[in-house]
Amino acid sequence: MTSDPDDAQLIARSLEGDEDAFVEVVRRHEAAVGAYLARRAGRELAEDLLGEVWVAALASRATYDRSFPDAGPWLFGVAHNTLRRHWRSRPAEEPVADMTGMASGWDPWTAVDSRVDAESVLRHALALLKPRQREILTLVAWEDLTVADAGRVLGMPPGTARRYLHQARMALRSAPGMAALLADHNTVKEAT
Amino acid sequence: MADEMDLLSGLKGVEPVRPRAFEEARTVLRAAMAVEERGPRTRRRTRWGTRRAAAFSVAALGAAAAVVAVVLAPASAPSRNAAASGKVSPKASQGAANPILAQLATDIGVEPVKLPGNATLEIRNQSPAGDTLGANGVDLYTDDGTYYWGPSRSILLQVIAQGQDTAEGEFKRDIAAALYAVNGNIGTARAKMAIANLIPGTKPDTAQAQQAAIRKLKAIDKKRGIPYTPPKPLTPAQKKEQTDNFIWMNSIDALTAAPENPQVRAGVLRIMATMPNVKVTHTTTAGQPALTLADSWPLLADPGLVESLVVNASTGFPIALFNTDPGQPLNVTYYHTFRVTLAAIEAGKFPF
Repeated sequence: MTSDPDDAQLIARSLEGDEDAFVEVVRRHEAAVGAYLARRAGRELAEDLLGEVWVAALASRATYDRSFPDAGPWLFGVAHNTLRRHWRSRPAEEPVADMTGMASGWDPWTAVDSRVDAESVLRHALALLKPRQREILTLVAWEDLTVADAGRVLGMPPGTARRYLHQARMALRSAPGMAALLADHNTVKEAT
Repeated sequence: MADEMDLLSGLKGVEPVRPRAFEEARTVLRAAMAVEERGPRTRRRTRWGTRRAAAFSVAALGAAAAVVAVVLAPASAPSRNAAASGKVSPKASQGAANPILAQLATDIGVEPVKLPGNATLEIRNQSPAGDTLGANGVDLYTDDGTYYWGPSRSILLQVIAQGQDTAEGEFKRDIAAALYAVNGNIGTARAKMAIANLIPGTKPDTAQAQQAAIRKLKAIDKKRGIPYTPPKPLTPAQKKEQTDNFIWMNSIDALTAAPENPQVRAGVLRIMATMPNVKVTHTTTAGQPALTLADSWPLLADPGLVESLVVNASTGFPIALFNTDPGQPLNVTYYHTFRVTLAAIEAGKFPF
């Protein structure tokens, strides 16, 4: 029984001229990368930037470390850099400003009456984090990456990524309003 | 006890990127690849995301061998004089149609048939006999062409509950084009089918889609400070083959979205009878007499790619689809369908 080629093998094939191999890599990860972009920049901009991410990935695929069979973290990294380039090209706007608009138009909190307050507290707490802390934290919490893979996205060693995550969690926990929010949340859970 | 990570996970949900955006992004990627001095591409079957996920395995290889093993006789040569496509004109394609497909379309009949239920549940897997849920998940097509997909029963239910047509109306347009083909002008039917995958008003033709992709590539290169190198334009013959590829793809989508509807089957076969490169062969597949319709696009960038649709020889009902491409593993998909009601599925009553 043969198995599907892994991403590293497909990227190797693409470097030998098999274009469909790279498109297959893109297909495998487009939903996750699209969601990554949408969470950070909103759907409209995510849709606008997605093609740019693939072109950047195509251009840099020769540098892909083929000891990693899963290209997901690498593509998240390309998406991350694409977003940074985009934000840099928009003067007077910081990435932090975009955090307030994350995930707009989608309501994952329909069962929580106080969702507006909760979201506001969380977004504010996120905005107070240092960019690298915030990125590691959200890569783990939203993209379901391991800490090591989240570090790979940002080009940092696993130990450093773990330190950033720890710092981010501590900072988030002590952010204004978080203690009350956690207490409320746990009270609601116990009551139900 | 919830912690800050649990709370943060509550913000994970996001308004999802639309399927057409994935396709547009891949078009940009393809255009970038074309800049690297490669030829124009066929539209591959894995069009967006997991719906067409390929499954490669030795088992699939064996299954495909079973598909093609019993070849009784070549049924027809490709009707090269049938109109190719390109800019499809209503006057096109009135020439010699493949007689076997044309006859089967006639035999199926054009009278509306009252079907049980109001939707078709479909499992695509690599087994000719078993309807086991596999990597391709489960498709649900309502009779009006609304499409839902999920990798499992539970996720399919969630998708249905959201009430969003996963295909953004694409199958409705595919089916409409097939129904038009039953009695309508075949050239017009081909023209409708060629663009059925496109959302009306967004991308009326391939040239516009390419132009949009090129504009985006120019903007990307400008950002990077590198000069833009334009891709080679398609020749007229390549354009014809590319359009032919679209007609083929969308026709198969119509057939697999409404396989129980004899009018859709007749319309699709009538269109396919005019496809210039299609070869039809009598086979036996999954224990039933079948026709294998093989199409190829030798002027495009995958000159060795042959995609084959296997249908029941008497009913035109889709049985399987497989690709052969030199140097690539064989990709085989078998279709297993059930008539259901949307309400029953929503209630969690699955027929498998």
